[in-house]
Amino acid sequence: MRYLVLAVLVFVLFVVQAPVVKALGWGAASVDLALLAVLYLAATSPAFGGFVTSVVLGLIADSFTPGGVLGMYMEVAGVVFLVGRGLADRLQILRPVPLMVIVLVCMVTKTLLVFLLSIVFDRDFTQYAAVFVNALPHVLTTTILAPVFVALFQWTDRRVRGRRPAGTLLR
Amino acid sequence: MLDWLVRHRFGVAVGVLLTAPLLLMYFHGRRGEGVTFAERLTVTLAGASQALANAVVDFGGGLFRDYALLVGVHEENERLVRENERLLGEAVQAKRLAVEVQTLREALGFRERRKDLRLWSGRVIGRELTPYYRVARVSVEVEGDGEVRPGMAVLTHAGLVGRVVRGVGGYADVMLLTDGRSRVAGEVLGRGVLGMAVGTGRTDEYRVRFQVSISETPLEEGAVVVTSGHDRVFPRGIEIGYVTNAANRRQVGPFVEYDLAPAVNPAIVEFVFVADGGATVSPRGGGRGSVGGP
Repeated sequence: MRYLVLAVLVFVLFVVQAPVVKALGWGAASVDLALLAVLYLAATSPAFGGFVTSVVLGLIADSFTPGGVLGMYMEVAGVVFLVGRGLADRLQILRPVPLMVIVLVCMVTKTLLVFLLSIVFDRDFTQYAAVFVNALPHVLTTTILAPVFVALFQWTDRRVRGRRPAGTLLR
Repeated sequence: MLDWLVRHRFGVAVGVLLTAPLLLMYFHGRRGEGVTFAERLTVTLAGASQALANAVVDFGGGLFRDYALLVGVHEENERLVRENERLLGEAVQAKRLAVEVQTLREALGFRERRKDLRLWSGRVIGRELTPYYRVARVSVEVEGDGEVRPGMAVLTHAGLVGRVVRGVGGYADVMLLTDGRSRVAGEVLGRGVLGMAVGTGRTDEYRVRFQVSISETPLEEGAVVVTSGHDRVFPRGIEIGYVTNAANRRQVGPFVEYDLAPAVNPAIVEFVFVADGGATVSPRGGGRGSVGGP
């Protein structure tokens, strides 16, 4: 149930994000909601359910990526989940500062993965520099706002499960 | 088999769910081969929901912007009203200056063209009105050190205004062409038809009669009449006016009369030239010049 709620929440946030960003005039400074949700799942969920949900979140991200190749963010989400899960075993990754550091590292990793997968699978891919240039405000915004959105996920999770997940941000 | 799958479900899931996207990317990466069902489904779902969100956010944003976010609007409105008034004033001033510049440019051009004339610049400083709000007479102030004498021609770049009837120092009263006492020797431009432009003296319109010999061929509508210089008062070639309603010509004794519309509207004239045709202008306080008259 919590996986479904989290997926719906990410979907709603994706839906709302574009018009809100446009209304506020922030341009390219959007948040990578799927990556934050995947990291949250990696830190708070069992391996199997978390991984499957992460791939579903990647599919949602693919849906909201105009002109993208379907499956790219599913792949990225799966890889990020595995990386996040490995880090979550060693770090309290839901604390604000470690979270921001890990989000920054994962965003950079994700950008490189998108670049590599685009080269391999997207036959029309020619905007090599644009991937990195456009990613810069996206990476910074996601890193800075990561604690806020993870707190939102925790709050939603508490509502669904009736208890706090381990390693809560708002301890 | 099922037990193995259950025991290794995470590994199986990782294998399957990391391979499936690669296959999806492989098939969907080939552009130009149509849209697949999966693409159509995801794009339709995301697009429809995003369109709905756009509509809601736009509506909410519009409400907030148009009804809630009105802090400082009153002050802003007052500031804009003041700025609007200032800009309107500046626009009027700019328009007035443009007209003035155009007038002066044309006057300068006239002065360059008519180097044969001795011209003194002047400015209209007063207008006497008829009961019908027509200008009956104007007063001008001549710039520089010229002394104005009766009989001197007053004109603009557009044409003849009248003649000086009284001059005191640099100031002069000017009798207009339309005055009942005004007589100006004229000729039809390009036709060589000579005649006399006579003021009608009407107080309700600017109108001049042009008398020509009965033996002349009829003039056409719009024929331009200029000074001929035969009266030795007005220099030759200054436009007096143009024929209006040529069909309405009248025989008066041995002459035929046409109605002329003056070339210069005395109500709007600001800058004038004072010229000596038969009359002369002498430096103020200097020697006297002869004054000619009709």
